[in-house]
Amino acid sequence: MFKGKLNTQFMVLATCAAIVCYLSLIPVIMLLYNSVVASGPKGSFFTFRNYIEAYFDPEFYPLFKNSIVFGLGSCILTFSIGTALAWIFERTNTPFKKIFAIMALVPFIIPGILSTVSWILLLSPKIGMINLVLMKLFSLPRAPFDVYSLYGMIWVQGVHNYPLVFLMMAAAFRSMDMALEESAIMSGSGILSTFYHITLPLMRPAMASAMLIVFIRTIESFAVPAVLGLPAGIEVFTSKIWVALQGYPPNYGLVGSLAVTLLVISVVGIFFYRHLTAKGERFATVTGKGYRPRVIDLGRFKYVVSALCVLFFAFTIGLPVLTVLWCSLVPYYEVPTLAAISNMTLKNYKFVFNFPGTLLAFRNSIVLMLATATLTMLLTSVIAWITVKSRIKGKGFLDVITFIPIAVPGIVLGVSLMYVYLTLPIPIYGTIWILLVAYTTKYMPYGIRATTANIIQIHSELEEASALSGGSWLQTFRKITLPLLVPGFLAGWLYIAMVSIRELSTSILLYSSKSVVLSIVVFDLLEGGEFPEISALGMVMIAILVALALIANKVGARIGIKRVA
Amino acid sequence: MIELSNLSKNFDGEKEKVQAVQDVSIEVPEGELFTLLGPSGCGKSTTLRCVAGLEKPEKGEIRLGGEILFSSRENIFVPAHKRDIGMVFQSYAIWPHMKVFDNVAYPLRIKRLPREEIQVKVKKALETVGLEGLEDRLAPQLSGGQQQRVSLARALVKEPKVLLLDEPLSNLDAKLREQMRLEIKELQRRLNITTLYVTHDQVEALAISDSVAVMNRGRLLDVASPQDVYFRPKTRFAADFIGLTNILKGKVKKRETLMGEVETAVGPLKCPLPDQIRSGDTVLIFSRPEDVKVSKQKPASAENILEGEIKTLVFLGEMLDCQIVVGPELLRARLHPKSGLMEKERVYLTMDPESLISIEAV
Repeated sequence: MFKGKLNTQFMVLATCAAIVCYLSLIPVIMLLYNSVVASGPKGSFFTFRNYIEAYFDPEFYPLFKNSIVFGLGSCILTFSIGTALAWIFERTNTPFKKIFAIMALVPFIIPGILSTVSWILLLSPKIGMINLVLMKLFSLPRAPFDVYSLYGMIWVQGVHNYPLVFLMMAAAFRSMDMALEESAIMSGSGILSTFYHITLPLMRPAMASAMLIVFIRTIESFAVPAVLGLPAGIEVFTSKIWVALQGYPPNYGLVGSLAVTLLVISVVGIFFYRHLTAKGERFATVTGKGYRPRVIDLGRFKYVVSALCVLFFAFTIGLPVLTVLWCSLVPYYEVPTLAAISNMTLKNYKFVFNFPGTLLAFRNSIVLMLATATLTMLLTSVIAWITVKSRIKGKGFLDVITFIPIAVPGIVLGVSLMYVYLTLPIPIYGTIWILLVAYTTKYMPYGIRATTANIIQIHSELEEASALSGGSWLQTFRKITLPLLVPGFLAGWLYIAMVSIRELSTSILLYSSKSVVLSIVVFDLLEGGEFPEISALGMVMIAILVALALIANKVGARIGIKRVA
Repeated sequence: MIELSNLSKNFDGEKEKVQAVQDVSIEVPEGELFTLLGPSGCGKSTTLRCVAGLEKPEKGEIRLGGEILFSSRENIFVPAHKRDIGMVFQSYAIWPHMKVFDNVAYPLRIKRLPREEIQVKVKKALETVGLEGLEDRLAPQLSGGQQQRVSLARALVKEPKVLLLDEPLSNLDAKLREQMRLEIKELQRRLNITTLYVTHDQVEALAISDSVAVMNRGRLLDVASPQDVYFRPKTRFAADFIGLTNILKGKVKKRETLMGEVETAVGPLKCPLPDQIRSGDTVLIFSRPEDVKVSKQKPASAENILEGEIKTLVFLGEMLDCQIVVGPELLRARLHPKSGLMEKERVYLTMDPESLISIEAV
């Protein structure tokens, strides 16, 4: 009997482990293989030709430079905003700071493509509301801002990415043992010298890892470079890969070598990030005991800080969202005037719910959201159970494999999966299934984070107590383990649902007319400049995401959201 | 009631196998409270978990009231949920998603007892541990002491043959720990349930047990009553681990029937000797600090008088903890708090030969 149970258990575990290995390893292997193999008249042969062509192309250096400038610029902007907000929230007595902390997470909810659209509506030289208003007020001959530029890209990406920095830096501020600073002050060190000699060195690992992760997230991003960079002729790795695939015939050689280059940058970055965060934990500034928040009294200045925060959020969140809302309610986009207000209409929303393309996209997006979240959480729950509870050899290896996709940029994953399913005799290319495979692969690392944390918090004595009460393995699982797992599972599920419904950078290479999803529809409509329709669709997406976020908040989604790598 | 014979259990360490339990044999008579005592990592918890069925030993045999629970020779392993055992865990393991009533009722529901019977039994179990009226509370709403009691009630509700307690008091504060110690002892006597108790706290072990087994590095060193473990330790480790002990090494000069004279670094000492010791052998002499008498004047007629200088005196309320330099050794003594002695004072120490214990030095 004992043996039989072990066998079913073994089958389940082995199957899940095999699926994870397949999802995570095969695409990367296929990508690397395809980048060094070319086919000639005598069959395929091994070559570095693709790399040589790509690297010696005169276009490569502006491409590389743009990527780095975009990455660094946006990284510095994001880091400054995120750290300032985290410091205000954790270390000062600024009024309304709790509301600001919630506001600082809002950009998480807004899909990248929509925030890009909103900034076009505000800062485009032709239709941007801010430009038009400023030109009229000061009778300027030309628009003062141009969102279609490297600065525009840096700004839009920067004001969208900072929640990640906020969460990481807030955690770092919060977990620092105040006694470390206080003992420096008691040793006779002044406040500035304490900050320089104690606080800063202790925060350094957290700061470095936050900057690194934002840099990587930026050079991996697709929406901003494709929508804002390409019209201005500014190409970065991700947009260039997409452009190279649009040509006929697609330049697979160039795509492969660029994808591998981007992958390498990302892998190196993630490696150092993991190294830094591990080191940060070793620094042991984190102690459960003796946590006392030490808040700095800003005096009268606190009202100034509070006002600055209000202004900041009004400008970076309030204004863009209201602009999209306004745009969704008018026949054609213009500066709000009395005449324009009288023209307000719901026809854009009617379009969204009647146009066959968007209806199909809604269906696909919802189906994918449900399927991805469920599949990913089930799969990673089993993997997490293996890595946390079992004593099977090689479980650490399994954890690493599940984590690999975090280092694969979305567009690179798209390229890799294209190779895999154009080569392997599995006919899912161009169907919704390949998107399910892609999303599951992409979000496995988030799933494993959530489920591992979830399973670790279930002390094994809780299960053992059931066994000693006479409960069998199955009874224990059903009555003890499962009920305790459900809240954490739900939180992780909701997080993955949220990120998968707004996915763009991988889908853009894998969708077909039958498997179109919401973010793709937005991207397509952008080419025709149909802003009112896009805005209506965007508001519906935001509504869905806000609903998911509210539920997630109720369920205590901290597990899912706070552990995003 | 519980019999362990030649039990061995290994764990896979980083480089090699760690022998957590080595060749341990124990017999716990019915109705007795038997304690496994030792420092952390000594194998006491692993031994307990082997009895529970949560760990599978490599070798040996475990019997419960004659029934074989584990036997490496006969390839028998009864899984934990089929064993007639109740257990209290170090973390109490109260299921946070269930009310107090459901936590305690769980073992009975698994047994599929009728609803009315469950009601009656859970009520009785909660009364036994003094928790009547808290049935509808959730675990997070309970204090540490209350969780402890729920855990006890859950372990006892199915009326098991044996109760296992794994460091049950280590999560409580000092005052509550003392109170629960008495309550557990009283409860165990009243129910007359055979109990295996694991702790690293020697005072707790001495206070609560009928028998104490001292363990170190996976091995069983000494099994005896609390008095014997304290006053007649059989190993240096046991003497050192339980309470404070002065340990003196020496060579036997002269052996008489029971007593002998031993040459130590502080001078010749008269003390009882084990049977197998001959003159010329090396022995360890143990002396408890409370058995060392200290005086300013040299006692007129006594044996084992040493001369020394008081190095430190620490006032502990009910006594003075005293360190005295005697030759190359530093000896501990406990004095009455009003004894009026001073640091740096020359004093005489008397060790009654009857109060000394000696063992063969290995």
